[in-house]
Amino acid sequence: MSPESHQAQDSLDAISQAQATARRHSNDNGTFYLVWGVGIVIGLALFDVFPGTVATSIWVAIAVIITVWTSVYMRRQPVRVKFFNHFIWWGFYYAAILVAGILLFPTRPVGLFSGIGLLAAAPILLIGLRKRFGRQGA
Amino acid sequence: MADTDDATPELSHPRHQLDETIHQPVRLSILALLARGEQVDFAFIQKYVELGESNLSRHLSALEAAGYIKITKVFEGKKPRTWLSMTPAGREAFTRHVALLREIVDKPPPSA
Repeated sequence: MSPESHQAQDSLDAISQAQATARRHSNDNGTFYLVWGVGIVIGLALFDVFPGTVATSIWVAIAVIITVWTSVYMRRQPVRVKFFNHFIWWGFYYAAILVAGILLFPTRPVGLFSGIGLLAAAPILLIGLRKRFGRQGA
Repeated sequence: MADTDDATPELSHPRHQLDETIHQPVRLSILALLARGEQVDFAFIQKYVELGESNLSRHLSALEAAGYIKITKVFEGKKPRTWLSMTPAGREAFTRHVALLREIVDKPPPSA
């Protein structure tokens, strides 16, 4: 490799490093999806543990806390990107999974809501993991 | 009559086409950060490139003068914040620069 090639490679490495840092500190770094995914799993599992009204109250509280956190977190990130918000389409999927689960299992067996929660959260957890830890080209 | 033998030889190596405004390491890092986002916080860039405010401002002024970046100062609540973004010309220049760097890396060394 010639000295020029070496210098050029060093510059390309510096670019990759800067871009990886920017991605980690951006509002689209996957954290938002991971937090919501975990919140949904916990929130729906509550319906297997507590009576409906108690579970609903805790779930609403969790959702409010995560919503406030999302707003603050997004504003605090030093790198802002325009990104496709997968939540828009995920909302339809979540509703379909929830309705299908309740219709298919009207007796509501133990673990039904935990299962629905895991199924419902799986896509956003995967998106979050891919964005947070996956390799994305410069 | 012009003597064609004295004419500047054609500079075919990609290094001759590198944009000197961008090639400076600090500016290259700044543009690499900006290329990833719509807007990047001044303080974040300062921390990343490890430069003082005035030194960084000089680099930013050079990039702004070249039309590669845009600097926006806003108040978020009561807190002043400076956001930097890349202009379309900056994005184009950066993309071209990266392509040239890749070309240099891929170029086989001259045979002895």
